[in-house]
Amino acid sequence: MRTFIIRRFLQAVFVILLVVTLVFFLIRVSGDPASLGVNLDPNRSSEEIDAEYKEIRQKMGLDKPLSIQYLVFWQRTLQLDFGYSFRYGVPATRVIFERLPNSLQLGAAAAVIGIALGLPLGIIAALRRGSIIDTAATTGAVLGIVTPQFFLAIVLILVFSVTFRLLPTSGIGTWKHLIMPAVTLSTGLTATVARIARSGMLEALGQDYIRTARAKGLAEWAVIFQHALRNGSMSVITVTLSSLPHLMGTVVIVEVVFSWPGVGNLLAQSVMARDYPVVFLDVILFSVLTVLTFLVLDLVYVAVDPRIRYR
Amino acid sequence: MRRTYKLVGILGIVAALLVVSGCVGLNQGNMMPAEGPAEAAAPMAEDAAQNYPQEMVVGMGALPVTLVGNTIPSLQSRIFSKLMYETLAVLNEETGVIEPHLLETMELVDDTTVSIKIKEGLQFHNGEMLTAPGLAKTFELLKESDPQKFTWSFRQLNDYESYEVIDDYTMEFTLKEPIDRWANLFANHMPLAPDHLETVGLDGYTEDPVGTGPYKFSSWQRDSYITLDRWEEYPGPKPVIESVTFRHMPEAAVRVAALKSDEIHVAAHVPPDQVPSLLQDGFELYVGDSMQSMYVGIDIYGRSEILQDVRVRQAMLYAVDLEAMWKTIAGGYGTLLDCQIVAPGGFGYNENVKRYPYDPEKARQLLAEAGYADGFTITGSATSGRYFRDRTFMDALIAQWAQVGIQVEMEYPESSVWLQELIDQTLPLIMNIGLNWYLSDNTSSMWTSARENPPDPDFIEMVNEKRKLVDAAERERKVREIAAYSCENAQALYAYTIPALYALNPDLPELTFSKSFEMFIPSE
Repeated sequence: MRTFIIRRFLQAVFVILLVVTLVFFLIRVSGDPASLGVNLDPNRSSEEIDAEYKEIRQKMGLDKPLSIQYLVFWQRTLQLDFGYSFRYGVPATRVIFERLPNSLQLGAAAAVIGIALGLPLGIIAALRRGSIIDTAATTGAVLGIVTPQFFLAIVLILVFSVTFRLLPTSGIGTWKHLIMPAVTLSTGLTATVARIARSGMLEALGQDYIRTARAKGLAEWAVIFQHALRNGSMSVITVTLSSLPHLMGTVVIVEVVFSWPGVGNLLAQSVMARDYPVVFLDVILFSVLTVLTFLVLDLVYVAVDPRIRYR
Repeated sequence: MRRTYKLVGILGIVAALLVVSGCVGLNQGNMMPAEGPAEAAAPMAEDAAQNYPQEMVVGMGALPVTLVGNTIPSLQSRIFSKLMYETLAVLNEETGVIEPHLLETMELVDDTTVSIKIKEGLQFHNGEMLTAPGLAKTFELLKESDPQKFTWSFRQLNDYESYEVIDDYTMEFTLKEPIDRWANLFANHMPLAPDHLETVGLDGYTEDPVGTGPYKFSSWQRDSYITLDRWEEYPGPKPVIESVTFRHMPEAAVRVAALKSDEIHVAAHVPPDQVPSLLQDGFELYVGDSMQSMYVGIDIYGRSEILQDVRVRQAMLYAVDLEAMWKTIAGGYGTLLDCQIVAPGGFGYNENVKRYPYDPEKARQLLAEAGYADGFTITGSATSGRYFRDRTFMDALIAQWAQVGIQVEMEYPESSVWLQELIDQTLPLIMNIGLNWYLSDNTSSMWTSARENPPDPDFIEMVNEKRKLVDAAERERKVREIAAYSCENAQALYAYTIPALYALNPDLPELTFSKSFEMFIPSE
């Protein structure tokens, strides 16, 4: 078990290094952030513009060879110095950590909604296989997966903010601000959990031990929750946990539409502005969270299913 | 079967609860609780006597990343910054003349000497006084700060060799050489409180900004909202609205939705296609103009043999139905330009210069005379999303040129890549830009940008001569002359000024906006 954890941990570190390196080079080939800082006032001569551009490049350290920039980057990263945000002029860590709690709050709310709605829906659909509820749940799950989030977000705003005026369109502050972004973000997860829970339950309900449990005279709730659900939960756990990184990815769209001041929104703006330090830290954060999620997933497997043994 | 009934019953109760909660919300007249920074989400309390909101919420596409005057990069941010800061001088948009504002006087003593006198008794929000030694002190402090944090407005101090404090309210500046834009520094500079700046530094100033404007800083969450409160000690007329909140709403559709749900009072920069629906719903519309024009440069580096022929360039202008494009793409908002970069009212506007009429036959004839009866193919690079409906405009333009046989192979690179090409002067023959003429004049042109072999050296010489003219009347004559020359030579396609559309809640007092994105709130 210990060997397994160490091996998985080292793999995780390697993945993070690889992702960061990839982003470092990709963002540099896609454009020069110094150009964004230059004033193109038509009153200025091309010499003035050029001089300012060179000054900015020098200030950002972009005039040095790429290999040197890369080494300097790692030297600073290892000292947890991620530099100053080009846009905000304050440490990148401060910019990110100001917004991280907002994203965690949104992500957690979406995960709770996804599980709290998806799991019962899947169980009910499995128990009432072929009924209207089952059809509705299955159709809803498909719709939840295929509906683009930006579309759903606008529809929710039109219905709940403009028509019924129940919820604020965007922003942050009260629990009401959280509802629409969290629901939008959770739709994919809700649908996936419902679909997987249904198929997991159907498979479990067809097993011999369920027939045996019923033959023993156990109450139906005990059959479902103590036997069927427990054995059918592996796939639900797998899907739920492995969906969380995807949730972090889609949080960008949701945060932008709902003006939610989180790291996803920040990432979108920072990429557009070529704010390297913030993009790096944001990507590192996303990578670490994703890798940790999969690490946790592996450990949960062991805890839930004693048949699994790692050496 | 009984279980099914139970389940249906539970679902029915849940549905009923949802409906009831919805009805309660409707009956409560759309009120939402104001809690912390989220008070922006609630319809604001209204002053019954005046019948307008005490707090006004403005939905913005983008908020500034810093709150310190002189470091705020975009012109669009002036909607916020000019409420909290004031400038030493202001541009009179009717006359195009820069007039003193925080200054009592501002004059050019001789070709290279400028004397300014600050109004006496002006205070900052923190109680500091605005004086000449204080202004000089902030200049020194700002010069010592990271130059990367400043915008070009502060860098205009570089036009000056030196400055000297004469007395508590008088300063004298010496220019490096005579230059027509000598007053721009004062029109752009927003004084900062010197002692406060010295104590907290530039980074600290961002957290606790202090200005001289009618509103003072209240609270700010980056990329979320900025709230300003009316400064009761403001020496000028006090605005009728007590508090203004700017909320970040990058999606135009969300800004419009927020306005319709009474969540905000002003939606800035609404898309023209949303206007009919907003007017139908009873909202007011402020159709503003801006000092930014959609400009399509033709061979700005003088590298094309084909485009060096003025007949070809003229044909390109005759081939475009600009009025139809303006009405379709900009909704007829903004100002259709008359073959010159500034709209009427801009410095050096020449009323004798007229737009090329839409005449495809004339275009074909000119192309045939130039030896291109079968047309030709060139390349172009344009922005996408950087300026107001830029890509739609360029696509329509290219389609119209294709009608007379001019094929343009376009590319729409990512913004920073396009900027890089602009700086490196590697843009292809056709390019676009939203050209600002705020504090500039009717000679703004990309034809002055080429580092080597400019397309028209005579034009460059004319512009350089103009830059040394400090006499306003003489300068204006020269600017008008250059504008006529530029149109005759078909240097560029001057399309229209980029419109600034603000949708307003009808309960608001009569707000107005300047062409440089400032908002004016009526005073008591």
